[in-house]
Amino acid sequence: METTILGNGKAKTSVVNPRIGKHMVVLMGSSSLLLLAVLSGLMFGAIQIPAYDVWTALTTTTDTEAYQIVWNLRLPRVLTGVLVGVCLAVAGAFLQGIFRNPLADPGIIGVSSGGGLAAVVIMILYPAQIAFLPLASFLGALTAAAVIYLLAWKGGASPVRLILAGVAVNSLLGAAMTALMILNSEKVQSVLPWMSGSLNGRSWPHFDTLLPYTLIGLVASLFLVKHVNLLVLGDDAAKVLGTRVERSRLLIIVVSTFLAGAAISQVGMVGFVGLVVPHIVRLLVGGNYKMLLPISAIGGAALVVAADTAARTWFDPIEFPVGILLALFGAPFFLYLLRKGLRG
Amino acid sequence: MSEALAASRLAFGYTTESIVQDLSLDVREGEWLGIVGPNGSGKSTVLRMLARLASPRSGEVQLDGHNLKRLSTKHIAQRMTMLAQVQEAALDITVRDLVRRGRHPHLKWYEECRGEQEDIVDWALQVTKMELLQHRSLLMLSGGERQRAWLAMAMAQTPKILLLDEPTTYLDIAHQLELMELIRQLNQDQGLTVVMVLHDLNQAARYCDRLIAVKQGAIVQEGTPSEIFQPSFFREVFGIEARIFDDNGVPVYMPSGISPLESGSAH
Repeated sequence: METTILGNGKAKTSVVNPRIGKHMVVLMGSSSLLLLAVLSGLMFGAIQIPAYDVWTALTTTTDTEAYQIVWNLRLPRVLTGVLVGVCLAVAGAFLQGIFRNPLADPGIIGVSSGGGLAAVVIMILYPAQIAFLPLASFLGALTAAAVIYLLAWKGGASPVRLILAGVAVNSLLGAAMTALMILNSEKVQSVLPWMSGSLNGRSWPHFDTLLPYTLIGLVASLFLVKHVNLLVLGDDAAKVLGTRVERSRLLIIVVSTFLAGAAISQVGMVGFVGLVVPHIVRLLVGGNYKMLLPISAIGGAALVVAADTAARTWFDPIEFPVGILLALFGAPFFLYLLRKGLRG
Repeated sequence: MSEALAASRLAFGYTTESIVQDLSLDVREGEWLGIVGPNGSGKSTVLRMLARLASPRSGEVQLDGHNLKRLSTKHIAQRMTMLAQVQEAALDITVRDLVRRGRHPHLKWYEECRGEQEDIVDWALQVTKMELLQHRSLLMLSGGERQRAWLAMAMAQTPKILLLDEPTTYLDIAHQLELMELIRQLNQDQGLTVVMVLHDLNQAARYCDRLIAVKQGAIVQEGTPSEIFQPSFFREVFGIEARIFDDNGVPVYMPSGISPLESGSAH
């Protein structure tokens, strides 16, 4: 059979994909949006810094006020936002793929409820150990995902069983979280910003902690693009194509949990990014993860940075948690997109 | 003719209720074998066991003389693939992107589909007549075109054996025949061995070299279409009365009604 193939191979058809042009436009568009979001994140705040001064502060070492604000306050916060957006959007894109469900997001495998409960326990019951909050919520997220996976396992962990186990575990952990807060209502005030996700006060240490997790997760993601592209075809189709379906799915869940758990441990329960960004990107570039994943990463970063900039400037002097703003403006926009249908 | 695929004494199901029991069959190299039978007869389960999508409770399937259980998923996928009745519908990827995925079993974990691999993708698109549609999204295809796109992916796997589970079920009659003709071409020109579960018995007779009739998880008849097409076959296997005609050497049946219930034979 091989000889026939090679013989016919000479009669090559044109391999020009008309989508490539569109993909490049989307790639450049999302990159520009990210740059714009980062720039405005550095410019706007209690004190406005003109773009030119931001540039000077970034490229030269001076002792101006602008330099201090950019380097010590805004840049680390913006960059942390970039990483958070990348982690959540990539995790969401992966999970939507393996669940073959556009409604999947990192919450579905327990990242929010597990990480959230662990964080609430620390904040309410052991406030003296607050330094361990990120670690605790990261481990909480991993544990919840592991429990969901094990509960769903029955000779394999099918997407439907994973979703059902996820719903059950999430409501259980959610109830525990609520109970804790009701029993300690006087301390709820301190928990709220974390619960809705906030970049308030995030600085270089947060960025430095998150960076290696993001990089490890992204490198692993590169090797999983192929797998998710096969899993979206359905379990049977992936199997007859030679995929070890359960192993691929587990690897993708592990990497997604790792990425989303790391993000949440640093900034709290930022929702919506993992759901909406991959969804919008899919409308723009289609379902091939070779494009979907990198553009989701860029889009997620742009969205979080833009929303955080808005969250801390629009309501000045009150700092709004970025998570609330994301939901407040993202949800209607998302609905609009769904109704309109973006593809021509 | 040598055996491409052999199943011996397959059983499937839970101990209380067997879906398939003590079923053995051989698939000869280069033939087109049809598996027919009433709903719930276990014919799709047999096909899934042949593809290793279901594992038998007992018995074994041999691919080229090797127990399927002990072969790696990738090795199997280089030799054999299966096309299901319905495919994952909401996939917004191009036909070519889909067909490229057919090369997966031939690539190492770090390799991408490019170079010579792309030539095979071209070939698969060509033999399934999908070249002109290769840059379309699957979402924009008709049912028949989509089924052909998935067949193109299966062909890009360059399998020796193609298993199909009622691939024409949701197609109109023209697209059914188009797909069957295409598979006949692949069977005759490329030497592809085909095993197909199918509903339409007249199509089975027209296209298949050999038929196996399954009822209640066991093979009840086996032979060429002309050997099998007898009024007694339709009565015993499907519980219907039928008259048989000859259309230039191809047997054709015309059902005339449900057989009167006899003890034990109809159900």
